[in-house]
Amino acid sequence: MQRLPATPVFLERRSYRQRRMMDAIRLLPLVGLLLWLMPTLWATSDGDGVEPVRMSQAIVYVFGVWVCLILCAGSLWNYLKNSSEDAIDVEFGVKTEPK
Amino acid sequence: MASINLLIVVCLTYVAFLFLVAFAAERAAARGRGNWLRSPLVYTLSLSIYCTAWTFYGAVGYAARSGMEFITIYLGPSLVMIGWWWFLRKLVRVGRTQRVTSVADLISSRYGKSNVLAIVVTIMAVIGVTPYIALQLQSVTLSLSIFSDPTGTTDGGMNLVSAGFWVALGLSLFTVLFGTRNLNANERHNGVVIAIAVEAVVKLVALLAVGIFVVWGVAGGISEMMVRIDNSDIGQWQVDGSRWTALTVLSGAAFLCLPRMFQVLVVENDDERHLHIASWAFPIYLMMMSLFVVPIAVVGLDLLPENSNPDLFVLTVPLSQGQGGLAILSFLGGFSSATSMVIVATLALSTMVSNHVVMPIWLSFQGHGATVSGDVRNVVIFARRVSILVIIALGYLYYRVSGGSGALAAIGLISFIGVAQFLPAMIGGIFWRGATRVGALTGLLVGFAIWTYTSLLPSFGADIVLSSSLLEQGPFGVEWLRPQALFGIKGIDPTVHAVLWSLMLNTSGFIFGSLVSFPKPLERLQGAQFVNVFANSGHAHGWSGSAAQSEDLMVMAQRILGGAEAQKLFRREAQIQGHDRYLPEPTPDFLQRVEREMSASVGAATAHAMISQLVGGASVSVQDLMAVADESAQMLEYSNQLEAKSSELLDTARQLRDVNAKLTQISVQKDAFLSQISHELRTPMTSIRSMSWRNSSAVTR
Repeated sequence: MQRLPATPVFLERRSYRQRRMMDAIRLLPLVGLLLWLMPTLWATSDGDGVEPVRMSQAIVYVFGVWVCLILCAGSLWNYLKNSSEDAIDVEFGVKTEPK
Repeated sequence: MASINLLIVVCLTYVAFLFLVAFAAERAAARGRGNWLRSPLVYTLSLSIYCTAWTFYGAVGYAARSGMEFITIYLGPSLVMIGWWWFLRKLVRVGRTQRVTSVADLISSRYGKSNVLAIVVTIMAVIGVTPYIALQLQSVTLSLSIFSDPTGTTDGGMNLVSAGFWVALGLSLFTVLFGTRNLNANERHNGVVIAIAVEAVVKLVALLAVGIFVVWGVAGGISEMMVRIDNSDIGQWQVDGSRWTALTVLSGAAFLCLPRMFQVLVVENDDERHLHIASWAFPIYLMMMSLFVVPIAVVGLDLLPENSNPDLFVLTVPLSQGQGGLAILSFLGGFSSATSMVIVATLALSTMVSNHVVMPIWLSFQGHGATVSGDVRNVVIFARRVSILVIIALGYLYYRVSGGSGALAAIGLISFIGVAQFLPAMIGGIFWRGATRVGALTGLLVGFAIWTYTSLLPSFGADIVLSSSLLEQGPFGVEWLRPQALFGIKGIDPTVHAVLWSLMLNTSGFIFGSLVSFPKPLERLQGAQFVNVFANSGHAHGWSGSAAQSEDLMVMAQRILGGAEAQKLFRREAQIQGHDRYLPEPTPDFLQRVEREMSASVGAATAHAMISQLVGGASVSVQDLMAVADESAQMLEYSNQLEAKSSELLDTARQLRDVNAKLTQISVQKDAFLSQISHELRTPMTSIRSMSWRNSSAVTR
């Protein structure tokens, strides 16, 4: 009753990589949130003598993060799309360990 | 300069074009040639109803007033889409397996198909979204007025109120025509979806065109534009950190909870893979929509007189430069964003109202509603059409009463906070099996009350609903209960304050209520099925079917699903059950399937009520519950049993083999023994016999 179906310790290299890419997809929004919350630390125009961040810099930063996130999400999707069909068929735990 | 008459002609032509597109799409889908209607591109574009007239006009106004803060409204949804794996994946799967028709249906279905919850969510959604619909009407009429008076300072002599009326009428006509054509929400509204996809393209193109004109036509290039931005009034970073964070979170939450977003994200979703593509494609759309907002705002602040309305810079900037054509394009963009939002929002709301408010009332009036004759389909469709008209009328009324005042962004934000109150019940329902109906109800009501008190009522201004003394000193002079400074915490921005307290207390109420209450059997079953949606897409609960008769079921299903559809379902089921008769046995499996099909038309709670009327109310017995309560555990147990059995078999087989080998060996030994013994015995026996024979013959002789 308590025993769960054993999860394999070692995966084939390919499926190992796929799982790490899935991890990347999961992490991506957190990275995005972190980067987009950075502006809360920026100096504002009513700061004490500190020169405030200029608008043009702010635009470049926010949109830059946006483009990076989209590119990451798109390429991850592309990677997983091409390989996801075999991902299900891969027999776990019988192939060799990734080196 | 474009005259108002020309504008109206363009507008009508555009609307006629949309009708045509929607009609063609419906035709193509009806003939089975509608595959292209369901491409990932159309799905992504249909998500763009998130960008309403608030985006189109309001974002520029917002940027002109408070700089970069406007962008948080797009950052939240981008993060939600990019993080599809966390939440949307599960939401879409749940929506598809449970055949959910709306956000109210989702919540009610999760918490034991509770009708009370469905009604509460429906009412909250209607109250939350009505100002938003009013906002769209306001923006369309405002933009019309600008063409008769480009400075935007007066009403321009045009009858705005009647313009608003005609817009509202046209929109309700479109929604009724294409939104209530088919009843089953899972059959999807091809015409509407394709129309909003077209509108999505129009508004993007329009905003990009104005942006490109402003950057390259007025400012003279990117670097010049940047210099101009830095030298303008909004050239320095002036965003309040708490607002930035709160608005990002809020917009992400609203993206999931807005009834219209739920409609296109989950209900109209045709293929889960489309979601994967939209996860990066939709952020691109959002990014392009916000790309030129700051430049337009800056140029507008530069070129136009002090008192002009920044919400209309998208129109007034091209007009002031003598670009009549561009202004008309931009007007069409704004018109598109307003109309697509109103259409989908009313569609989603009318589904909720008809399924969760009208149908239960109608059923209870009918007494034994499910067994009387008559076509329920007509009732549902009629209810839906009336709801559409009522909702748009409410929006129009709100617009008339509020007098079209206030900045667009402020109204939109209040609406966002209202619908974001669904979030705890939604997330909790999908990820936490311990969430109960009482908890969800507590959370929703607390959140809604705080939203009303801290955000909605104060928004009307002092001395309209809440007296200024109440706003200043709190009710009965209790400082701690001041609407915009609860618990004596002053100095927070009102929006942040409302988001913080409403969501925090909502979540606390939800968790506390869930912890202290005990769920009913059906709730626990539904909870297990929602939370473990990926582990098993199997059956949640059993109807004890013996009481229901197949004929009754057939009659009822026909009235809701339509004759052909119901007959197909029953015939297929009979085949699955393996007999030639037309009517299948009312097995629990079959009853559940019928209920699920029906819930796609009338909502989970109503479908459940109708079936339970036929079956006799006993939906879940304790035995059923015991049997299926913990499906995963049960499956685990089953597989363990199988495993144990197979290893037992292996053992037996091995023992058999051993015994067999031993037997063979013994048999060989036996043979050897016998052959040896026979030799050993026969020889002396023979000699003894011959000896005794000789002796005996010697004796006789």
